[in-house]
Amino acid sequence: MGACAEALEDDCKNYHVWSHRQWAIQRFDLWDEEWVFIDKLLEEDMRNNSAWNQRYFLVSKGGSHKDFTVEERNREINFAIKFINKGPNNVSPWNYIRAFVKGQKFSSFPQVSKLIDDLVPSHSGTCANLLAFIVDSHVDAGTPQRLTAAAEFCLKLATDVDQIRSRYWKQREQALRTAAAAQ
Amino acid sequence: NPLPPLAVGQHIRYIESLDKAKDQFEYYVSEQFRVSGIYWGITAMDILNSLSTMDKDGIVEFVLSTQQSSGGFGGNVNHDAHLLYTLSAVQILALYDCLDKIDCERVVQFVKGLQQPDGSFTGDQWGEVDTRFSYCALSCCSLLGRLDALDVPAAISFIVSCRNFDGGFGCTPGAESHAGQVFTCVGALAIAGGLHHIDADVLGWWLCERQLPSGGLNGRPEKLADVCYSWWVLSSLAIIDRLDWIDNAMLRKFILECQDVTHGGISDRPDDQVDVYHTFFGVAGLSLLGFPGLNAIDPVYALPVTTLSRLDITPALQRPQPVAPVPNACLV
Repeated sequence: MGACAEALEDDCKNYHVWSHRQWAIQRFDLWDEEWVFIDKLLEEDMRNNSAWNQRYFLVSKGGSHKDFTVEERNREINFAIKFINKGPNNVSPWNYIRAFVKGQKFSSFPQVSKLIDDLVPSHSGTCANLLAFIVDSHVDAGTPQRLTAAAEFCLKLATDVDQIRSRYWKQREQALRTAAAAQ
Repeated sequence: NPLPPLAVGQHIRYIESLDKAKDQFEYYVSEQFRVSGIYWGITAMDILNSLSTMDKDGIVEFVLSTQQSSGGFGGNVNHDAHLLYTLSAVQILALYDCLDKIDCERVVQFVKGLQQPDGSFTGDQWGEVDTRFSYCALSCCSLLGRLDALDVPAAISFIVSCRNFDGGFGCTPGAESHAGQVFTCVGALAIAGGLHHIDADVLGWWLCERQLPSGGLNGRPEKLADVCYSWWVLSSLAIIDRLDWIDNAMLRKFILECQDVTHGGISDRPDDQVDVYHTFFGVAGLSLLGFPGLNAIDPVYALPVTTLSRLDITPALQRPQPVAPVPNACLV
């Protein structure tokens, strides 16, 4: 673990080092000390996707534990929200929230609605991650009005905020309008 | 700035010169994966319509000489056998229609012997497991017409266990999603008939999110663009029928800007040193993007489409599906 840590000082995203570190944790049962290590890395660089993945690896015990408790979900969602508030233009914590909402409704996590409400005034014109997340929360609600609202956000992403992915967003927009009309 | 043209002539001359570059440092530090280097070079030449200028007999003779007693191939003469180079060797022989020059059963037994009880594959006798080796094994046996020699359901099961919370795939269960690993997993599932395990909308979004403002693609969030991802990401998108989720013109621009138009070759990003690996993946990416004048490459096997037609191999690609009515990026 010390060797991995040293290697990660030079290259904190080195794929092979992280792979080796995961092997060592599982082989020698070194789960407990990893939490502090991840915290330190994310404080240094919250955009380190490898570190976000490693945290999921810890919480899910290497993938063997996927039926998260309500406490675990809330703890991890709150953890990610902290970093989103520091800098919303970083996709890793947004994907991280999705992982812990999975299987539940967005509405079960009021802190998620609050996050959206807090960020919309300042970031709804520029932050693709925020708008993509709003799309997902509308889709999750599933009513025709919410699906239509989701479609509007897809259009905004396609034409303004995330133009490089305009084809993706336009296809989603079309699918959502179709679904809204069909209900 | 005007877009540079694709410097086809220069790239052809660059690839032709590689085998003669025995005074170059790079020639020697790449010794252990020479067989893969040859595969990258000749497949690029096929895409560039210039395969005939390569020394087919010399190449085939060299590749055959790297086969070990185990049936596997090493990266160079007298180098230990490994799945990576076994695949490259089989790809080269397939491309050159010389599979009859090897005892295919010996190769199949080597590959089969590396499958583990959990369905994964080690790269060699020393035990490293990686989904790249699953791809190598499945592709190898498929090209040799002996996919039946492997435990395909177990292979699929292991690959699926490497699917992550963001929809991507890593090298082992729980490892970070990485575009290179995504290609190997998606390609392997295509060969094995397991593409229904992929949610194409979720993975497709993760893949197209790799595209940066420069037009180039990275391999994971918050990493730099690199031309080789023009292949790993694009081929994956092509296999799941979402190729148009990438901005085609912007990616073409990025790849063309990574060329050395004077001396030939393509590098990982603009103004860096070129190498045959990035030259191949840049040209292969352009071919998938429909760049005019290039021969077609198959996204699953990373071989010319003509080679697969000759072998009568048509992987069951995911049938074109419209974007799901209510796509939910939470669904992994």
